[in-house]
Amino acid sequence: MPDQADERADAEGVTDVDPDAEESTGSFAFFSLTGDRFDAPGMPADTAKEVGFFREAVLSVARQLWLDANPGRSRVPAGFAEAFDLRLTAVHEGSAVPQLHLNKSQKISDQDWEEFVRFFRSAVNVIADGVNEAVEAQGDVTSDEPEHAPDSVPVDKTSSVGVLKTPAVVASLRKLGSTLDETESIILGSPLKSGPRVTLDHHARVILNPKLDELGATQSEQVSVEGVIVEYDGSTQSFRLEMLSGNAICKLAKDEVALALVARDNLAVDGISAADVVVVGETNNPAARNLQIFSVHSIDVVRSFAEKRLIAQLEQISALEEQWLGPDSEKPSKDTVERVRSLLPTLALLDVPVQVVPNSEGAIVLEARRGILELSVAVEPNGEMFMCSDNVETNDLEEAQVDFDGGRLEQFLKTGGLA
Amino acid sequence: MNAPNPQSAIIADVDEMLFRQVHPTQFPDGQISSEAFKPSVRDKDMLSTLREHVGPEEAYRRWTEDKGFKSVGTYAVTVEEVTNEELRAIDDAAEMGEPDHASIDFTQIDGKGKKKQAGRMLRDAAAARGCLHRPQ
Repeated sequence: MPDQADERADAEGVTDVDPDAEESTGSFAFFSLTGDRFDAPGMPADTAKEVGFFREAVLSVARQLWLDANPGRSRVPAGFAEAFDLRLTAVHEGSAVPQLHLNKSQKISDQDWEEFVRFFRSAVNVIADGVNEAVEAQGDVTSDEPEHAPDSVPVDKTSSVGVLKTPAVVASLRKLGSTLDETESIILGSPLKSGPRVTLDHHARVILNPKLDELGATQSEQVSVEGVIVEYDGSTQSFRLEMLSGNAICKLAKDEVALALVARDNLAVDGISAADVVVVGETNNPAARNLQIFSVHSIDVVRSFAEKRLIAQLEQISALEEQWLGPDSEKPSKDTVERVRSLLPTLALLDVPVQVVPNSEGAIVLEARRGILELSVAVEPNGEMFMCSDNVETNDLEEAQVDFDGGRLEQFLKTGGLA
Repeated sequence: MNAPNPQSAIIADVDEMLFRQVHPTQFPDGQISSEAFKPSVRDKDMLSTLREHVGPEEAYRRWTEDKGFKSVGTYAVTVEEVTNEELRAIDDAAEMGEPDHASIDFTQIDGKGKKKQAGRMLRDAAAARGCLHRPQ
């Protein structure tokens, strides 16, 4: 933690200390948000994500710098991203100055730490230098097509701008300042006063992202949507989510390897047969019918496909009319339907598929095949249940008529035993 | 054993098929439930079918169009498969007031489990034979 003198210096944006002093305070970078909103103590909660965008941009640039420094390598070393444990430890005034410190995990060796931190610190300087250079050149530093960049903007990787032109870096830089309005800015760069810093005002942000104005929205917000993943593109780390109304094109946050596996594992190859998932990410237009979601950082299965299948079967049953199978047939009561519905999440977890069917006496029958045993439980409208185990090889039968007991029912379908 | 109604007669031709319609809710995931071949107490343990000469397509039409019920298609069991399970196939068209109606009589079967098992046996036979008429 910085001492009081350093805190004052940081608050004033004057961190002109020698490198050794910087190491001792642990201050990683200068980062300041300016504008009316930032005059009050602390910082608006909805702009805290700018720190996250900054972290993402630094990591993205650091990765590219490491790859450039290690020709022939296509990946950074294991633990590289995890080592970049940037902590927001306080927010000083003047305007809002989040204090950013790099935390060293015990898991990382001293040797790796020293190497990685060199790249992390260089990345901050590269961002500051590169964006300054591009703004001065009025160039589109983050064009997706470098060959179309103005002549004044060098594209070789030895220049700061060159590094910033890689697609992954472009994507991360475009988020910086996306929650700010036109009168607000970010100043970021070296923690040293003598080091490079850049002011990301609206003008600079438009240069970073020429489509910013066209989007008509400078603020992204977090959204959470539910649906089925119906397409997955590993090359772009993105997927299409089909929702009850509309679609969402979702792009994973960087380095979300585990999340990419979750997306792939829950892909409905046929467009239907997969779990329902809830996806959390950022969007610039949450009201759109077809959403564009970026920085997806969470995919949670909320309903397995097995459970969805059971729910669909039960919904069909609950929609039955009286006399659905002839003059004397009875539809299951609401109580019976709800009694069965409460069992579905557990039944969906069984190692054998369960089927839900009605009978003409108003019961709902749960059926499963466990080896040579055909198991069934009729949940009856009188509050009882009839359990039956039918050995299809020997025709031996075990049966019991008992009061409804959800736990016993589940145990029976799980084991095949009536006891 | 209960005697059939005087107006009814046991069907003797063991090779004759009896057509049964299967409701969509008793066909989960494309598998026929044994419930589709088990009568209810309200049906007096008699499972409704139509006789073979009707034809599977016409049997489907009568069930869905004339009576307005739902079906995924026409399945069948033979009289022999019925009698193998100690059940009886009965021509009860006159008693039911429905041309070509036949019932599979479960009244001799004691106990819910035994009835469920007999329904399973008939279901297995019908499923092995396959759907004889499925709507387009």
